[in-house]
Amino acid sequence: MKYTNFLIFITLLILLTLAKNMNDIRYKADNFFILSSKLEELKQLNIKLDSFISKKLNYNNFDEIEYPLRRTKEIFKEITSKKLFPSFNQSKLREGIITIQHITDKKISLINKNKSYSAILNNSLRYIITLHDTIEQTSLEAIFNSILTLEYNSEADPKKLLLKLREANTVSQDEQIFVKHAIIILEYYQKSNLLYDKTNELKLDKRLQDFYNYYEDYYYNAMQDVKIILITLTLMFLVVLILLIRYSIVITRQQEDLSMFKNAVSLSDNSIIITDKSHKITYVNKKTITSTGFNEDELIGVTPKILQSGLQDKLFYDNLNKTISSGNVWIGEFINMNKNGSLLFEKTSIIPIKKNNSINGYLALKLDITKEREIEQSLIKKHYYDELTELPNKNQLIIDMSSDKTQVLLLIDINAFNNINDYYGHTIGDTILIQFAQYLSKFITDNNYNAKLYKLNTDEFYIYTSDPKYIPQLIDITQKLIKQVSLHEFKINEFDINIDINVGLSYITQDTIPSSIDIFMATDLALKESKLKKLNYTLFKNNNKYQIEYIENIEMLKTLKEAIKDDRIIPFFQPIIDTKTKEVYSYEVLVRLINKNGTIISPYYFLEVSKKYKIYTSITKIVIQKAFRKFKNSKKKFSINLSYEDIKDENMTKFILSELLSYKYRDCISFEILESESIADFDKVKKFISTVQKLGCKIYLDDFGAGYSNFERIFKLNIDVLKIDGSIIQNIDKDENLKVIAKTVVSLAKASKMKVVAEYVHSKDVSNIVEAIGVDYLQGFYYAEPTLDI
Amino acid sequence: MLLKQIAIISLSLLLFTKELITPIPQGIDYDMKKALLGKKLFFETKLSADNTLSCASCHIIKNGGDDDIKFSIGINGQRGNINSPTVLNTRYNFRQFWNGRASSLKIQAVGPIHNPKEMGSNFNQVILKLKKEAYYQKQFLIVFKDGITKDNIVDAIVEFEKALTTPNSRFDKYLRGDKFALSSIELEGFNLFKSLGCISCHNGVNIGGNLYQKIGILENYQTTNKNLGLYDVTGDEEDKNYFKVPTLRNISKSAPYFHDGGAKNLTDAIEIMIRLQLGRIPKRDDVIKLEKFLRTLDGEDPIIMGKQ
Repeated sequence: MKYTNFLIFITLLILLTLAKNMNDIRYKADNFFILSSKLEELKQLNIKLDSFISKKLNYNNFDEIEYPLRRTKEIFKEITSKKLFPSFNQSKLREGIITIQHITDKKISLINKNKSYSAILNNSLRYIITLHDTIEQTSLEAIFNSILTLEYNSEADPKKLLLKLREANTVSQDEQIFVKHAIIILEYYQKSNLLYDKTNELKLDKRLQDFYNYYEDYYYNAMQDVKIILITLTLMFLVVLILLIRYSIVITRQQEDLSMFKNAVSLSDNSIIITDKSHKITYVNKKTITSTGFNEDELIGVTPKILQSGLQDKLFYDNLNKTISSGNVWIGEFINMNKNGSLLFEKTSIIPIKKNNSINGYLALKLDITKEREIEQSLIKKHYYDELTELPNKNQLIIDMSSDKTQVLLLIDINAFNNINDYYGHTIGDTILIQFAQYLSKFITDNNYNAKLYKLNTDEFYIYTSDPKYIPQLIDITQKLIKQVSLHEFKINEFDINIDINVGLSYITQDTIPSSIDIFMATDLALKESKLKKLNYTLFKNNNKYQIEYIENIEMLKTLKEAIKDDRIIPFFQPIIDTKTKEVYSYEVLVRLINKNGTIISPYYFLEVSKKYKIYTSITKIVIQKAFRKFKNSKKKFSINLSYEDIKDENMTKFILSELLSYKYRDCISFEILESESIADFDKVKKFISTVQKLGCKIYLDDFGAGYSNFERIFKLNIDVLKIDGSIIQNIDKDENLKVIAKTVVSLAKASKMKVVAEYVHSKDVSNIVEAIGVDYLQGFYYAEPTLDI
Repeated sequence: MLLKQIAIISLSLLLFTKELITPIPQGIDYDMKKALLGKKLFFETKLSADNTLSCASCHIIKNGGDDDIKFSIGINGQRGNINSPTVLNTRYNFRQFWNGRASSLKIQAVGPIHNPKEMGSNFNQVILKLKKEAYYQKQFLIVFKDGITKDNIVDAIVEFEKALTTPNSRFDKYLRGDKFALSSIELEGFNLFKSLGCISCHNGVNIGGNLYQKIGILENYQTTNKNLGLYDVTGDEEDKNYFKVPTLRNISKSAPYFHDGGAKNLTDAIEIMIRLQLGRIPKRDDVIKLEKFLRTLDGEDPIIMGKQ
């Protein structure tokens, strides 16, 4: 742009110079023609003057010479007038004119004198012509002749004639008069000649011509110079014009690009700030104004410091300044503050604007990432903090404890918190959690413990410290806490609520041998143990038996969950043989877990775990679905195992009923129920049995005789088939007592019109024995193993 | 001898073939408005210091353009030392004043106003006086853009003076071809005017006024007057007693004659001129004839003066 301005400036300069020169030329030319015509006129007038002077012996009408004289004077007056004279900018010219004027003035006064002399001369000359007739002296006659021919006779000497005249003797009055006039003639003839010579000496004609020539030369030279200047200027003008046109094309293109960019910049979703080299803001786009809340006037002329929140230290800005002042692009994130004082997170690039290798200013391109940052912050908060109590959570604890050599952890669990929730509702439950959290915090601060409180699951809290001094007094503190909590009444609305807690304790010091159980698991185990043992607290100790069990359970749980997920829970079918016909009477559906490596795992290994971790019913559901699908269109009988866990679960019973209702041959289905101590709600079981029996299903009582059996209750259940526990059958061929027990069971069943199944029939001997006893159905490896297919 | 014959013939021929006097043009150019303003100024006594004299006091236009006294009387009764020349036909003079010190009428007009022996005033005074007159205030603005100024006053007066020509004298009529305009005696007088040589100095449209000439060429002019003519201007010894040759137009009305008013009447003046300038002895008959001729040079009054 500067270049263009320069070019335009040059163009104007050239044009001005051209115009001035043109004007000069015109002025000079005009003046040249005026003056040269006047000089020409002067030359003509001078010729007239000369011719007048040369006519010595003429009578003259002096008016005639008056016009050339007056005109000559006028011309000089004109030349030396204010209008014309200054145009002769060369002093030599002006001097020349003044000199010629001076000489002309002399000539004019000579001419005026000549008028007088010529009048006198002519007057006397004419008189002596009339007089000479009366002259008698021959000497006078000779003089008369000489006088008459003076003009034509170059040898005639007026001075000699004068001497002669003065010596002449005059006789008559006429002669005297003649002599008088002759003397006058000669005197004035000489005077007139003198004037003539003087006039010639002035050489006005030559001077005029010389001046004219000089002026002409001067003019042509000046014109020549001007011509060169003009040509040069015109060429320069053309060059500059071409450059300008070329630049204007480039600039137009650049301007188009620029306006495109400008538009983009001004409408950009990025804040764009341009500063000068002293960091003073020279430009901000619209987005800058909307995101900072400052208006343009407040931002222009100040430095971007106005936006700093103060949350970033000097080092940050020093580093920034160092980067950009060395000409490098800085990329980073500002935590700025807008006019309202809200934080503004801006991902920023600062680009030094360079011109000729020096930094001319800076351009900052900023993306407002405040929202993203806020979301991030809240996510971080969610990740590290409990929403309800606003306490840090386990994630935070893991970070906090990561570098601690000594770790002391208390896991606090509110007893029967589910009951509180069920009874008072979740709102009050939540309030209790909040109040309890506050209570624990207060407990820590009141006792000046160097410890921190964390929230775990719904009703579990951690108190953590890295200070080893608490280890010896750990039990005391725990007891104190438990006692105080049990005495405290949490007042919520109109309720006074007491809570009890269980605490699992654990610690690690520098001396602790590294183990696969981390401190969390340790407190967890300790807590479980305390619950199990109905203690208020337990301190985790290594080599505890819970440890091993726990680990196995955890492993199995993991395997089980994966198997469910991967659909590797598979029903197997073991035929039950009718003793009389030796044909398959029914199939028992048995659950198997196919391991990842393909091995088949017996429920022995996972049923306990599944019950513990409440996935038992899920497994039952899978088995039911798959078995029902398997037997769907056949009239083959089959039996499915249900535990008390299944029957007590309403969702499960509803599922079973809905499955049954949609099953075609319901009388082919049986349920094997395990008789055990754990049946808490006998009525529930009874109700289930009667329901499914109404639908045509039969009920087997599994493992009868294994443990404690309440016969009375069993018979109230209206069982269809009894299955003698495998432990009785397995060794029946070797133990007579077992044979007796079996016999008793069979007779008992017959009395109650129940059929009997013998399990674990693994040999011919055993089969023979149980057949002899009167068992209706046989089941065991001797007849068939459980298989995937029927 | 041949040369002598040629010389004589050529000299004589020149005298009679060439008309050395021309008539006053009948129509002249001048700015009427300006000239009328000049006329008013010409008669304006406020141009003099004591408001007693105007240009017209000494230049009585109807009476030959001068006064009838030897030396004019200035303010406070002061007497001048030179005979006032006529204001008529001055535009045809090659210079103004007896000694020719003014090259133009404009330069001349300023002279008498400033001359302490004449009007004894100055232009600042004159302008102040004129500005008090509503007539001048208005009239100057009509004629000139810049109103009453020295230049404008002079310009107006000069314009009036340019209008003061006296055409249509009987002699001019003769020159224009009216052969009966002059009587035979008057015509004889004109021939004498030429042959005696008067015409050598008195020629041109103004019959004089176009050269300097020495008064007393063959005899000295006897006078007590201190004016030495051109010498007073140039200081050149040669120029002593060289005066501007006066016009002979209206000569019958402009007595007394010569710069010192030394000749009371025309006859005296003619005789003096013949003796001193032409170096001849005046003959009574010739003088009468010349006088009769000179009286035919009286022209009509300038048109600008109106008929009376």
